Amino acid sequence: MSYLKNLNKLKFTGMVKRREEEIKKASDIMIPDNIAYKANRIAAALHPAYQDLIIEKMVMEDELTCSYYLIADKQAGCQKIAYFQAGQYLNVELNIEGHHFNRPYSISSSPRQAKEEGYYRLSISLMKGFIAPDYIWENWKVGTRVRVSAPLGTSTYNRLRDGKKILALIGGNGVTPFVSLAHTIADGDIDAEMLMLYGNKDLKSALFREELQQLVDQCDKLKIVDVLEEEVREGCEHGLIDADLIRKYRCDDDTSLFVCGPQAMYDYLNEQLVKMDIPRKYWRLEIYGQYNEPSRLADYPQEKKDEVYRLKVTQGEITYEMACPAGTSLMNAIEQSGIRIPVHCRCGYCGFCHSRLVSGEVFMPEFLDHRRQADKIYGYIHPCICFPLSDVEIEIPLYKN
Amino acid sequence: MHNQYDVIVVGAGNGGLTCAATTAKAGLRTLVLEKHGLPGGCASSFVRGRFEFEPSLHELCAVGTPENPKQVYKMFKELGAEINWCYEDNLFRAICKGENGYDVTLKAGRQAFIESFEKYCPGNRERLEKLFRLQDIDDKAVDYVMKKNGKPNLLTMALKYGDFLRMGSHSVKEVLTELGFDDKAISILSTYWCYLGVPADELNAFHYFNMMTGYIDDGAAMPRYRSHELSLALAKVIEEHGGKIWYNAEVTRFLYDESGKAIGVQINGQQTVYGREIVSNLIPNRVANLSNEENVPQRTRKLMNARRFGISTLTIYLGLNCSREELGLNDYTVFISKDPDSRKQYETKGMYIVNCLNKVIEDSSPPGTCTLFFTAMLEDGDLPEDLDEYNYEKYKTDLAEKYIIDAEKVLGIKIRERIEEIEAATPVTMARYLGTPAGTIYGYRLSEWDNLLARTQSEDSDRTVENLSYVGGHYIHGGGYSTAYDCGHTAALRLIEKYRDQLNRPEEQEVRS
Ligand SMILES: Cc1cc2nc3c(=O)[nH]c(=O)nc-3n(C[C@H](O)[C@H](O)[C@H](O)COP(=O)(O)OP(=O)(O)OC[C@H]3O[C@@H](n4cnc5c(N)ncnc54)[C@H](O)[C@@H]3O)c2cc1C
Ligand code: FES
Repeated sequence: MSYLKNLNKLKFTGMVKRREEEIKKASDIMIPDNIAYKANRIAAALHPAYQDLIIEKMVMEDELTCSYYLIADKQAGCQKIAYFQAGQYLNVELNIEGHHFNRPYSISSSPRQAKEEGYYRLSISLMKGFIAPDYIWENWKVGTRVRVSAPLGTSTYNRLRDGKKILALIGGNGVTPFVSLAHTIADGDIDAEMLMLYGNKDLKSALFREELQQLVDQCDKLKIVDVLEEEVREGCEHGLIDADLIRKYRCDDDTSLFVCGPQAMYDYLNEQLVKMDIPRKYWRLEIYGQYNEPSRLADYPQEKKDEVYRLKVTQGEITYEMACPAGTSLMNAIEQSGIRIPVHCRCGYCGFCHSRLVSGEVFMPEFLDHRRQADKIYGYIHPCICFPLSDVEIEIPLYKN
Repeated sequence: MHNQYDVIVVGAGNGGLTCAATTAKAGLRTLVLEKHGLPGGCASSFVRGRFEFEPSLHELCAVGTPENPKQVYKMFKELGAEINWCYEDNLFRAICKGENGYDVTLKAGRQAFIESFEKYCPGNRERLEKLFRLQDIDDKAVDYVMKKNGKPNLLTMALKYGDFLRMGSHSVKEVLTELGFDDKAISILSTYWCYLGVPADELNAFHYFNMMTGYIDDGAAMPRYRSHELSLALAKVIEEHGGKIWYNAEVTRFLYDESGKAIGVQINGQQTVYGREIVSNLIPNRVANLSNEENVPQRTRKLMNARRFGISTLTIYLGLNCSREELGLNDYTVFISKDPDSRKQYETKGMYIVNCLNKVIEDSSPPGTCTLFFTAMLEDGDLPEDLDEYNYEKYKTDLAEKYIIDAEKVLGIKIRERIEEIEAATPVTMARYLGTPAGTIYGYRLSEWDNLLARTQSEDSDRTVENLSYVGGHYIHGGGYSTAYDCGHTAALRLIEKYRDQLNRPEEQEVRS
């Protein structure tokens, strides 16, 4: 009995032969590399494993900030720089006294400049007590070779998600991604209006103020309002960027808030925005930079603050041991002992440092905890935002050179 | 050179993880090398703002329930991996627009399926019952073949399991037509073709109905915490049994001895590790790229050149700032198409799927929000001629917008004003994250001549390099979670069998622990 009488069952016995024929017919040349396919080519162009660049030009923006213009280092095999989106950053590799560090810096030039003129501009301010800027100021000269990551970060404008209008809340040298964004809007590559509330001590310490003014003059989609903490000036706001100012300048409901500034500004805004009833859809404030003071947080167990713990780190076949003070992130302790670990954002968001907590207890600021839910169940952490509360043992990913 | 490991698994995708979990548990010294910072390959998750998105899984086949466990459920259980399974009873809703269109919602469970089908296409009860009986014949035939260790008596096959031979060598469309279904019924019954990436007039009927009845019999299951939960559960099994997983460890070279046996791999262009067995979760094309030409046998080269890649996709992930109820969507899975014919759907990429995970797992996003997941077929060859790295972002956004607007119209819901997070992925994204050629997510196309059963019977001749096995979506059964799991498990059992003697030697055990 058959339900399929008209179908030939003998076809089955010919199936292998038929397959063999197809194989026999085929060429035996070696299969092409992935780069033969368009999808792989574009992926490789947008996300190179790293980029070897060379400093072509340096420009002092003010006494404390220097802009470095980086171009592809053809001699080192880098043919062209990867395209990016306004708001993205590069992770810069630094070799300080034999130790390797990575630091993220927002790109302050525009995507169009990357495409047409072949450079990225990183603008780096000298700050007391920070290792990386200090080192860069001392060592980076025209002709210095620098290895950086592909462009990274998701703090970019998306026309399907974000409002037609952007209200940029800028604190001091958090301005760099907005210089890029302002250029991109002026270039017509992003179709949105942007009003920048630019907070500084006084007008003369406002970085890139002239460049921004030029863009505002030339493009009617851009506006800028200075918010000066220590100076009273006509046409400028006085004080700090606060809820009242946001209310005053956020006139249209379809306005997204884009934020970049010092830690305290985020802390403040995170609190205020909930109260102000601005839908979450309209806040974009995920870039923080490294978090250094866990003991400032209310839920931190203060009695542990001055302890020093043992940290055991396994990477592939090798296990290291080191000391880690309670106020130092696991990531920093690891890097400071000369071990290289994958890192991008340094603020818990990207997950690139994803590691397994084998034993021990760590503290992580809740608002920086962007782990996946299953990570919490299975004990995985992002060491860049973890501070030890006991001796700790972790397994970290390998580092690709 | 000495063998530091019994088994080196390259790639921690579904196939690699299950293989490694099984070998580690059996006591083989196992090392997994994964180029990313996470396990899972396709099976992971990603966070944007306050949402955690499922990147790939629509529904997992062959799970079953605690009362009626099927192979995936059993496999996880046996390995000792605890999964929080969540279930969906509705099979799917399928909307076909235009002339001869339809809007049907079908239920899981054979009887419920028939009842719901009758509502839209009355008069097909008997045909559907025949279809299920054919499936039972197929099951029995497969059992018989297994009992005979893959060498069945051909006469018995022809006499007892003739319909299995017919199903196994004809297309879905041929079989449905022969059973007397009309075009509309054929269209609806072929809906799942896109899960295998080959239209119904080419897709092997045995393969397809096996999957389809799986969904009908057991419904679909999802892990509570996205696929990342599945992958971490397997990673835990590996580590608990002394296996190692190295992340950010990209294999840059496959190594062979003079006789052509696989002996080890190079990692990140730096260090090398050696093992008795190499298991590749990478598609053979990648292994060939990372091997010297003389180590890629002629048959393998010919086979790779003869094959086409499986499909890739456009996927759109949306975090919406309204609940599923406010959005007004009552279905987990909706298939949307413009033409009832699957060949046309394939050629015009005129079929896409919309999933709302909150229907199955209500709190899979924060209160007052929900997520949508769109999937449309999109292959390397569909990418526009002038696409490059500069206009890629715009291309992707415009494409996403087109599908979102269409879904708003078809489903009568408002999406755009509610988008709090959005991410879109294309073959470019797949190429980046999976490292597959052309961004294929399903390995090789299960084309007419290279179908499941032809592959199964050719397994021995396709295996050309000693001590090198393959697991994953590019292997015999093609893409899919359950199939990748299954082939990882099967490959592991084969290795355990091969090294059984050594496993049982007590002194060896000691050295290991
Ligand atoms: C959008 C989408 C939707 C899908 N929907 C479903 C569905 O609903 N149901 C279903 O069953 N299936 C679905 N699938 C298919 C399913 O996810 C895959 O077929 C299956 O997961 C493949 O598993 P795999 O073992 O082949 O591994 P893959 O996921 O391909 O993983 C391979 C792993 O190898 C790693 N790797 C690559 N190169 C190297 C190297 N050189 N060195 C070290 N590691 C390397 C990769 O990083 C990756 O982790 C979907 C897939 C996608 C993308
Ligand atoms: S480096 Fe981004 S999460 Fe740690």
